[in-house]
Amino acid sequence: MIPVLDLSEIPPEDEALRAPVRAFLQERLRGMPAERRARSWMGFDAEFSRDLAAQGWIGLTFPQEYGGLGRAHFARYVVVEELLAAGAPVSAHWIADRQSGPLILRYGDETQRRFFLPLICRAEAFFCIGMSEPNSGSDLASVRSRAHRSQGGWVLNGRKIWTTNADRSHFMIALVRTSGTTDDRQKGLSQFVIDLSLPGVTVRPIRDLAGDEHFSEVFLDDVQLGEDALIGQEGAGWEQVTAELAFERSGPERFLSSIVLLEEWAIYLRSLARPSEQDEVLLGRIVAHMTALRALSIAVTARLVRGDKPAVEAALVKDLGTELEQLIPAAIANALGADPGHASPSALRHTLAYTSRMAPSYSLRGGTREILRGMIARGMGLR
Amino acid sequence: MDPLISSAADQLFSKAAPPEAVREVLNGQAGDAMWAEIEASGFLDGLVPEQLGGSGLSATDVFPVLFACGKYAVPAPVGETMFARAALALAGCECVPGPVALGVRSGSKHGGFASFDVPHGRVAAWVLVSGEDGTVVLPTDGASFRGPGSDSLSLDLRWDSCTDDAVELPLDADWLVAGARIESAAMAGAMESILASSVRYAGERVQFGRPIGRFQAVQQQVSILTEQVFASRMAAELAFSSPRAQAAVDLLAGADRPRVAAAKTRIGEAAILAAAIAHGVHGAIGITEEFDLQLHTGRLQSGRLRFGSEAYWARELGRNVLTHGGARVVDFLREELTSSRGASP
Repeated sequence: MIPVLDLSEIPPEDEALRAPVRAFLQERLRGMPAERRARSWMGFDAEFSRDLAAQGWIGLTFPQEYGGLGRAHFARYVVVEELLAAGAPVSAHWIADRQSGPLILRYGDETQRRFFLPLICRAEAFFCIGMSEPNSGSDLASVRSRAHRSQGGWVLNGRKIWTTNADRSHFMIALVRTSGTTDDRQKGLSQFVIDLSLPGVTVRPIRDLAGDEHFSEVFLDDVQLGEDALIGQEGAGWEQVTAELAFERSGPERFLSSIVLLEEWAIYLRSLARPSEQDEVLLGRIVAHMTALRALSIAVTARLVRGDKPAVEAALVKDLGTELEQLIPAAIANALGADPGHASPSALRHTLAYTSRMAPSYSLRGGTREILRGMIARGMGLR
Repeated sequence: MDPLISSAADQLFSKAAPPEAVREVLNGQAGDAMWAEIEASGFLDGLVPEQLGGSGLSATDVFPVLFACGKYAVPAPVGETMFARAALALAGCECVPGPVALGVRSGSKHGGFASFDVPHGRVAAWVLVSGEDGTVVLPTDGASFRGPGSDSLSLDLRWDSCTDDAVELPLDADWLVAGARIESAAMAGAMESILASSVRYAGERVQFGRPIGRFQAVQQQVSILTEQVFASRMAAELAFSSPRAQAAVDLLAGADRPRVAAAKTRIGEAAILAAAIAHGVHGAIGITEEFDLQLHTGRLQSGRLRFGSEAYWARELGRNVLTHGGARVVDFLREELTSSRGASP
């Protein structure tokens, strides 16, 4: 059985970060249209990331000796919650701050930490994650990209796909096979950090249905890597990736993806002389869902802070969260169309259009709904 | 959730309200023996302040007790009596003996009183009737009319006039919020039982040569059920964890009403899904009278109707958000609904 998630709270010293972050964002994002803010953690703006880094708010959980502020997980939670609520374009540094940095800190060696972490904290190194391959999506253990030992290092061959920001990142952390065959499943996998400017690396962006090019296909042809490219232990890639995903799945981004649309809609409702009863009920329903989700998300973070590995709990919160994130555009579309003779503001409609198009991706990225539910069923002892 | 109180409540109700005793009450008996055991536990005076002779428990403290009431489908107004006793004590009134129900759909006319669909009205000795002119505690045996309510424990009640033993309660209390808060905890508790039963049954029942829990279709459904139960429990716990609504006096005043609105809305929605999935997993056996699942799914259906359904509370919550001083939805969410410390300055 999955252990109960206890109500937890954000410590006051971490909560204290909220006001300065919010003030910074109000100033820095002034005038940015809602439709752009709706891209949130898919919105790439290297200059914004550098400005945020200058405040010390990237990699703030890393120890000071590596350029961070040595703050607790909850400090990051507060910063991230404000960034997402404001619709800040955080994509450039997002993966490094959330996953790659913590991974290097936990499994990397001292040289790797000293090299990468300060770069991440200064927003001078952006990362992408090489997990999916053309024939390995949900079945991640079937990856075929492979690293062979060579003189003084490794030679890497293979292909990654759906890699967010590969065309704009400096490094990729990839999960590849280092021994055995695909029949060995989770065994024999390792993680490497790959400098994307190396010979043999080709990145081809893929246009998404909203017209953006945030993900790419990455070709790896005889890429020569040094010994220092291996992260953690050879063969321990699966365990490392699993730990990484608990961080990826538990944050506030897992229920705030549609928040800019919701806020815009609420602003519109406030501008009306009298919102309809239906609209009030819908808003109340959405907020009731968010209430439970935020508390669950904070409870999972409290587990991470304690050093637990709440992978299943994180999957549970993510699945619940994406359901709400997808309900928001679907229900708001219905609400805005309830009176065919009435026109809603065009900025709201554009925000809705973007959010509606991207909403199906919420329950794909970071583990599909079906895979997560399989994990929960296992957690409940059914498989 | 306090583990000591939680296990004390589990112990009490597993002994006082085993499924066969619950059935007897649902089928028409009064449940006097069950009530006597609950009375002996001392929990009923839990919310009465210590200086007035009670235990002075906080909202956080009593949450496990009310949650357990739902988990064991206790067919008695335990939470309602706790709130009523605290109100009587605070108002300086004498305590009334026996179970007290909350009648929030009430009216008074020409010296008479009426209250409709009173939850637990049939097993209550008293009904706390709230109306525009204040609150009166009336004996159920003095009612001039008793009609069936929406479940076997509920009653429509009418009194032609105030009875001699009626107690006027001079206290400004919000009984709808009190009832909805109590019901949120009980429904979350009922869902926990439903989940446990579904997981157990999916592991035991064999079809096509394997336990049905081995089929992905069943696994996906049980996962959704699990999620709904986790969300409901959290929503209920939040409604009992606000720093502004811990003492009995604040609970009775209906402090932090938006949290109760969020809880009753979220849990009401979850209840529909949870009951449907649980019955789907159990198949025909779950439809039988003898199988305990029906006690808990029935409890959920009753609970949705009691003290305002999702439609009522969601609308109120939506209005609260829109009239909250122009702040963002996320700020309302943080400050009013999920902070354990109350509003930030």
